[in-house]
Amino acid sequence: MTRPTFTAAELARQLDATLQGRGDVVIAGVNTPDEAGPGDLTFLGSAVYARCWAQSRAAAAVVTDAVRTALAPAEDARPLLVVTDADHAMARALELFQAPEVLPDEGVHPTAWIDSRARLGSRVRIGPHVSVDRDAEIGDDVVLQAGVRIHAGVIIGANSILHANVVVRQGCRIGCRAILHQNVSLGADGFGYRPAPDGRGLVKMPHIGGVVLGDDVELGANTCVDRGKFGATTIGAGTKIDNLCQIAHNIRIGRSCVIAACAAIGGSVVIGDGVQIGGAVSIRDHLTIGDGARIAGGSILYHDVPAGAVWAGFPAGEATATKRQWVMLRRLPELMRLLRKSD
Amino acid sequence: MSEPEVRHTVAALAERIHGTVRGDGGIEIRGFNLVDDAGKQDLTFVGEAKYVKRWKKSQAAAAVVSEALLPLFDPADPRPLIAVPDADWGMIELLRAIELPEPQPDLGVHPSAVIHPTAQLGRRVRIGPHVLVDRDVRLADDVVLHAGVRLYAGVEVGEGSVLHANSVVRHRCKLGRRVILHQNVAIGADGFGYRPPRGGQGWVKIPHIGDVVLEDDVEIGANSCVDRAKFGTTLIGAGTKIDNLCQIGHNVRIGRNCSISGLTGVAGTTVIADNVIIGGGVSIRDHITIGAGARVGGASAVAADVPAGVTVTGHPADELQASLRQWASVRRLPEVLRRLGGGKPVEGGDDV
Repeated sequence: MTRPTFTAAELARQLDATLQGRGDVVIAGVNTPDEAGPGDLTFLGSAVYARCWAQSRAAAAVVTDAVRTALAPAEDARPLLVVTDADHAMARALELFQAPEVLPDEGVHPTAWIDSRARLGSRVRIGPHVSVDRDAEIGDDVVLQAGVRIHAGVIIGANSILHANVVVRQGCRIGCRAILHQNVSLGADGFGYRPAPDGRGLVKMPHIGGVVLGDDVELGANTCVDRGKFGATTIGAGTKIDNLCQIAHNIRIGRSCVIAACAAIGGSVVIGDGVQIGGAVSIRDHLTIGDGARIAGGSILYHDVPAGAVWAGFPAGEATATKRQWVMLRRLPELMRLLRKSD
Repeated sequence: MSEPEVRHTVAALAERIHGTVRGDGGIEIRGFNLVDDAGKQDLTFVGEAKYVKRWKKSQAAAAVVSEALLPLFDPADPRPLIAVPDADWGMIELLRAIELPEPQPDLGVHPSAVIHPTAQLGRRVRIGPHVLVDRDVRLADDVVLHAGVRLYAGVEVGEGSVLHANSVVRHRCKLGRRVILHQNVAIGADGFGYRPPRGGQGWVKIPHIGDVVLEDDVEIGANSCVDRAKFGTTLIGAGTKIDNLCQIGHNVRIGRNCSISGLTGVAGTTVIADNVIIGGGVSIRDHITIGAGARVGGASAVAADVPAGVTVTGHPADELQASLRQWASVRRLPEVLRRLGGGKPVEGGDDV
């Protein structure tokens, strides 16, 4: 797991940065200003961090032009990499310093169990204790980390990686380059019951649909996507979902959406393309969220959201209206007192 | 509550918790249970006056009771009582004193476990079935890995830590001593960070090259997640306890001895100082600071910094007294609007 090293001059080239100071300083890692060691590159994204620079042990820093002018000049000889887009430079630097992930060896680990009717693509890497059941199709270059369970008839596209202990139930389909973090549950039965004929207890409704994930979908650790009652629960290409989210049966999520952690979405909700949903949002069943809508973290949705709208609150409404309500709410006790006086 | 297999006299149990016996200390106790569920050989606990009545109907053989409640017990009832200053503490002390060891994997490595040749195992480790210990992992002495635990390359686990079934710790994350991870815990998955491609559409994954550090005596509940830092460390301080189904985002830094209840989410880069108490179902936004000793009410949504020692609650969260006043005012709103409307009915109210 040796990590690559770069000189400051090489890094400046890679990050489209203008180098100020010595170009021969060797950089071996990336860290925050507080935690950085003598071989690390750090980021001073705003003038707030400029103060940290003097105390930081970092070898070099990526700065914007605005931050550079805020830094004490002269005697500090450490190189600065001056960029126009600090976020982009940071992402690029992380790509450069990323150590290659340790993957299971190519082929099938002797402790894995592959049904004879399953089909494996070329160069798959299947780790210890994995099981792949009958009629499953595993695409080229797919990585299944330790303990992954692939049930019957599952199809996984090329270059996807499933982390340890992910479970994919029968008939679910995963596109190419998907990333499923550890303990993801795909294709558990949707939560559907009907009252028993005698009025006592609940009878389970069969869920015979599947789950379909498009290409480049990423699902966070411990997130669950339930199978459709009939027809599929679908997540469009390029959509990214964080940890501990619940995607209920028959939901249809469009392309390139982002859904932050702990969001819970009720059955049959339809979410358009490019929608951004904050953390811990709850969305009731059968709603429609239009293309490009943005939902603030912690919102509780009971109504459809139009395309492009920005909503917030509990219950959620248009964000500026909600913010006005919050301001009024804070003033409400005072208003009540005034009303009482005027009586 | 399942009953541990015990056989002790009331007097012996009383001695363990420095209690005073009223009645026959020679009676033998075979288990512990709640006042309503206890059988004829069980010991139960009465810590509040309202349970005294239920004790009368209980089948239990004996009870640990708070001293202050003693006068409420019928002197004609022959069943022995163990009096302690606080029955709740008495119960905890008793459970600790007679706790039977949890069933653990056998000493050594189960034949079905996969241990990479470069991994270093301490003394007296217990590694259960189907565990993976990948390359360069370091396990200290007395570590317990239950069935199906997966440790990716370079993980370090400190002395006496216990990882329950199917927990997954991703590459290079570090666990201190006496850490407990309950089942299905996810440590070190990538943080949730993407950027729009230059001039394109969709999202490009930002690599997360940092790690996660759990200090000594941290406990993480079942199915909880702690994401790895973009760079640097996502840190959980010594003695902090996190309940089930919690989400700790990338680069979050939590101090020492905090308590975070179930279904709480803490978004990226937020800083939580020492001794903070956070209720269940709380959401905390990214890049904010919760000061030392602050308390956050259950189901709150915290969107701004919380100063040290302050209690906040509500959605959005506000200082406790302010939120209580707001809630009281909201309850009075329909009545106030009726008055303002001169007795005419006021529209609205069907929003939910």
